[in-house]
Amino acid sequence: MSAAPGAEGEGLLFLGKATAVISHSIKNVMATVSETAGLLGDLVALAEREPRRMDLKELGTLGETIVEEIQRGFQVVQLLNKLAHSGDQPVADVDVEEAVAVVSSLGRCLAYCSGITRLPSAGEHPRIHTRPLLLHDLLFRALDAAFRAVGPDGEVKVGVERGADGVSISVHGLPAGFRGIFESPSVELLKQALQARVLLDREAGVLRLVLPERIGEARA
Amino acid sequence: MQDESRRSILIVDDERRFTAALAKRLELRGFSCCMAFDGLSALAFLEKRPFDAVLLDLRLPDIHGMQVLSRALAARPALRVIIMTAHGDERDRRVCLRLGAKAFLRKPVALPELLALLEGGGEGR
Repeated sequence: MSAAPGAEGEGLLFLGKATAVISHSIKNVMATVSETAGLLGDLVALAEREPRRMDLKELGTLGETIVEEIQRGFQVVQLLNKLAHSGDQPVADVDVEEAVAVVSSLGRCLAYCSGITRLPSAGEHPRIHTRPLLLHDLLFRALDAAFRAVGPDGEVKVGVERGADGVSISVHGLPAGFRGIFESPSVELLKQALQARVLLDREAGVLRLVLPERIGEARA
Repeated sequence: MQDESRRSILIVDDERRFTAALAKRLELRGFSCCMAFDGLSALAFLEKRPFDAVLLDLRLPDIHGMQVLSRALAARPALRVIIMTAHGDERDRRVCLRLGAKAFLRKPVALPELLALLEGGGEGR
């Protein structure tokens, strides 16, 4: 299948942005490990001078914190790996639930991230034949816009469902003033490349990305 | 009860474990620390208490650290604010220093360097 002119550049920009977000997260993990290990060293040194001040429970907790942070670091690296591989093939079969999970994880790396709840889906995970990298990009833009509208104390709910016109990814919980993600030439490029529709129900506070089961060969 | 003789530091960072560990390390070295996990809470703290210094992250959940920096210094121009970020680039560094930050540190932070800055003798990167 041929390229999607213009949209491929958007995909590259998305990968750059995602990498920056992820590197920020990794640095935060390393900073926490570094500071916690430093504190552990401080407390051990203190205990050597004043053995009665040794608090084994606190030392144990700090050790657990380091292990948990390293696990967080592994998860972030795994996310980077998944995103990097989303560009392996311009067009491929994509598990939409998995794509939502990956982009939600990326969203959680943002400082202004809201809470994200996944709405339960019925039946098997829908798969579509589409452009994986660009799908991640469009979905990330939707979540990013939702986070900015809802705020860090709010919550958005994300659902995936198969309908007559394809598979839709819905973002619920948007405030009345939400303006959507329509007013951007780059979103227009992504919509064209994915043959997606972006619908906003202002009353219900729901943004919906509707994706075809299979993008047409002619338009690609 | 607060020990008035200890220098007081406000640490502003949404990475709670990082903040807690750093606060404890500074307290072991004689500082008194408060923690704020977002920008507006930090500004509320600063209205209530005369901190000697602020350690400030840039990426915060509600408002950007540079907004906290400029609003804090507008209220207290002599306040010692040290930026401590995992994210900032050279442009961020220049802007923060122009706004009045005393130093711009990148995480992970070297504690001796931070201590020197809190003592007032260090040169920020």
